[in-house]
Amino acid sequence: MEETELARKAIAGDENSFTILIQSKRERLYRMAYTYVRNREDTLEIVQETVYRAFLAIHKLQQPQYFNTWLTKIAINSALDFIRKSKKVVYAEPGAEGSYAPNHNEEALDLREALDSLDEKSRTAIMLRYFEDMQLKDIADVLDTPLSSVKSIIYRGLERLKIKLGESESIG
Amino acid sequence: MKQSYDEIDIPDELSIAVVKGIERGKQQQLQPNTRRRNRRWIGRVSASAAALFIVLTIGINTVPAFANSLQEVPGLGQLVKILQFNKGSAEGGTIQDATDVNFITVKEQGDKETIILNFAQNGEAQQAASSFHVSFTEYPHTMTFTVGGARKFSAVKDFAALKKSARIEDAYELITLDDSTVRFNVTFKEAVTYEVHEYKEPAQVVVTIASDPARNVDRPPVYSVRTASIPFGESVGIAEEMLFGAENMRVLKDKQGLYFVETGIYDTEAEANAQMNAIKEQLGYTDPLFVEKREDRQIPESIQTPAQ
Repeated sequence: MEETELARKAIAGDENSFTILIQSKRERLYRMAYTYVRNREDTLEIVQETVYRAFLAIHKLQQPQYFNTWLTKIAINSALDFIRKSKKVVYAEPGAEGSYAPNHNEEALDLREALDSLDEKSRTAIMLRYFEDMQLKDIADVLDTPLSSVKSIIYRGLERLKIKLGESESIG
Repeated sequence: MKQSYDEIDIPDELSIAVVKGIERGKQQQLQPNTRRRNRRWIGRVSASAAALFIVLTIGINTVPAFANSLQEVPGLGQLVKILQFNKGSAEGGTIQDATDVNFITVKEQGDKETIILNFAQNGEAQQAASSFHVSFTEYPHTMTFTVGGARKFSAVKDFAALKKSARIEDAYELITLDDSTVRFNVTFKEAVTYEVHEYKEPAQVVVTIASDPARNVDRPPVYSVRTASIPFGESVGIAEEMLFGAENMRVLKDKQGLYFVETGIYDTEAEANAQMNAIKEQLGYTDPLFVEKREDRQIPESIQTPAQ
């Protein structure tokens, strides 16, 4: 069945359509969330939270064709809320967050460091534009930011990334 | 860059996380006091709700048995989360202090069983669960529960009731050399599936257990590396501290009701022996360690330190 059709049914309250739809988006949700926390357990928790929020709010979605944009927005807000919340947590011992398993792939490490150096908005915008291939217009919707600002956020972010990645190349 | 993004590993548990999210959403919708409900409804019901509230408040504050009976209801409050298990362990809750783990109840519901933990502070039900860690291990099937910021463990009295359950073999407190941590083990008679839900207002942790026939087949024995049996007391904690660093360490109770520290279980005796020697060397542990052969679902043997 077509995505918009499923979304329409889900908005009308059909749990099955919602489940099919959200399961088809799960890998996308996972990757986006992973960009923020970089470990499996936290990412799974964010995905659970995203699905939970989406389930409760789906009836408020007015246009089924915006399902994807709407879901992306929830996922990003869930991820940011999670980060904000976990910043307050004090670990009893430095090794307590041992579940973090950094990927030692060099390229991935570069990406990680470079992206982490950006502020939340630029990071989100770049991820959506280049990893998720989203339209600038949709990114503007997700970020609640005018289209022109999105363009400049991405442009500035890319400039900074270029500098960052360039630096590490000349050193390494 | 795009490539490494596409290469992010997708774990198998992902679809479960999605299902759990939906399930949590459904439970939230069932909560009677959500704004989602029809507003006309609320108006009509509010008067009787207020009356009920008064009755409950008076009841809880004046009749202790009444408050206790309410605590036996699982999921009285709002669902905070359904725990995600990684290699059999998970954690939840928020940092609290001066908590009393005051009440544990067990309820059989059809083929499932729920174990409910309640938390109190200054004699009143706590609103958010204390930070806790729960892990499930095998040989024997054991659930280990650790509650942080807890100074009192009144629920020890409830272990007797827990042991009456058909699936529970034993329940016992563990000695902890930290006066703000409470730990206990629950031993199951058979392999179980488990799910842990955390609630707030009031705080509850609800563990749902069901038999797991698929895993209830006789599996080959394992070889456990462990200390000699020690009576309940500080020396158990000291042994545990000296062996700190062993990866899969746990404290268990043996057939005689004595305690010991286990540093790991292995498939073969040779491997267990090698690991035992490695631990002695790396951690400089000088007291005797033993390799015990243990069958599936068997309660550990009691081992005495040989006279020297």
